[in-house]
Amino acid sequence: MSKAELKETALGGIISNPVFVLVLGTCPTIAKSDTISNAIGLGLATAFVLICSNIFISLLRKLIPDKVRLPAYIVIIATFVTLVQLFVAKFLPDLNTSIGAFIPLIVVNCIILGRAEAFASKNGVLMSALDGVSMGLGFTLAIGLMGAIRQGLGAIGLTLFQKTAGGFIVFGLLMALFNFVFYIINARKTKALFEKGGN
Amino acid sequence: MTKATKDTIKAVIVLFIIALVCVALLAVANVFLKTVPTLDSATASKINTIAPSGVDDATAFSEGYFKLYSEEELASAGFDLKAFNKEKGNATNKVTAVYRVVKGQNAGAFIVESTGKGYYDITMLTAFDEEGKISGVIAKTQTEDKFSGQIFNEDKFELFKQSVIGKSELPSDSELNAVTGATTMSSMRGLRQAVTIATVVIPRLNSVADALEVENE
Repeated sequence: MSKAELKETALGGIISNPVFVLVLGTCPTIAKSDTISNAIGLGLATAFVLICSNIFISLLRKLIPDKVRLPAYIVIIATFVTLVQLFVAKFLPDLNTSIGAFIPLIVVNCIILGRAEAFASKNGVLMSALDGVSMGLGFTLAIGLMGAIRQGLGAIGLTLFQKTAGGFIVFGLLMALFNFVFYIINARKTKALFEKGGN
Repeated sequence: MTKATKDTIKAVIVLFIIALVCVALLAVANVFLKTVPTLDSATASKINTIAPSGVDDATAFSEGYFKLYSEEELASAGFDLKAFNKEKGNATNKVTAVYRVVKGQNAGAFIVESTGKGYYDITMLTAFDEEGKISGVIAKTQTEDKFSGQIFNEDKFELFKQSVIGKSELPSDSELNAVTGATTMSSMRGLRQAVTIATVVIPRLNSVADALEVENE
C-alpha cells in the first residue's frame, strides 16, 4: 500500500464526498437533514454500518463466490442495520421516534452497497476500514452541514427549508458550491503544473 | 459433478453460512438490546391523558398513580401474557405491557400497550373503563407520519377516536376507512391491529383484576 493510496483513501470522504460528489444516498440526505440532531444521528448510524460492513465484506471477500456476492453483502449490511436499529430503539428513544423509519432504509443506501462493491470487495481489511471511516464521516459531515443550514434557515422563519422542497434547494446549492471549490482547486493545481513544466 | 454444479453448491453453502452467522449474531444482540416497556414520565403523561387520574402529569408520575405490571405479576394473578401473545398475536401485533390507574379518579382502569404494523411499527396505549369499553386511545410511538397517509394528524386521529371510544369491539375496516379516508389504509391497518388486540386482552385482564396488586412498591 503506497502513501499516495493511503492518503487518497483517507481523504476519499472529502474529495469524493459520497453526497456532493458521488451523489449517493440522496434520499435520506434530503429527508432527514431537517434538523442537526436528525442529520447527525442518521449520519453516524450510516457511518457505523458502512465501517462494519466494509470490514466484514473485506474479510470475507475471497470466500464469497461472485454469483452470490450481492445477496451476501445485503445480508451482512442488513445485520448491522438491525443492530443499529435495536441500539437506537433501546438507548435513544427520542431519536428513534424521529429517524426510526429511515434506519431500515440504510440497507439499501447506495453508499453502503457502492463502497462494498467498489472498494471493500477488492481491498484489504485496514484499507476497507479506513474507507468506511472516511466515507462515513464524509456522509455525516455532508448531511450534518445540510441539517445545520436547514435548521438555521427554519429558525429565522424560512420554514420552506425544513420541508422536502427546501432540502432539494439546499442540496443543489451545496453540491454546486462543493464542486465549484474543487474546480478552482484543480484548476490552480493544473496551472501550477503547467508553469512548473514551462520553467 | 460439473464445475457449474460445484460452484452453485459452494455459493449456496457460503450464503447459508453467512446468513446463519448473521442470525446468530442478531439473536445474541436481541437478548441485550431488547426494548423493555417502562413507566417513564412521557408514558405516564400519555396515560394521564387517556385515563385521567385527577392530578397533573408530574404528580401522577412522581406519586405513583399508575402501575406497570411485570409479566411475573400478571402470571401470579393467573394471566400469562406470553401465552396470550403466542395465541392471539404475532411478531408485530402483540400486547407489550399492561398498566393500571391505582389511585385517583379512574382508579382500577386498565391501560393496554400494544403494537401493530402500518408502514412501520405503531405502539398504542388504549384505556378501558370497568365494563371493558374503550375510554381513551393515544399513540405511544409511531412514525407513520413520515409516510403518506398522515393517520395521526389531529383531524383523522380524532375521527378514529370518535369511532372507537365507548366500544368494546372496533368497527370494520371499511367503516373506519370511510371515516378517516382511504389514503390512510396501511396506517389504519396497523392502528386497528394494535387497538384490536388490546380489546381482546381486556376481558382476560378483567377476570384477574381482583388478584392483581394495586399498590405501588
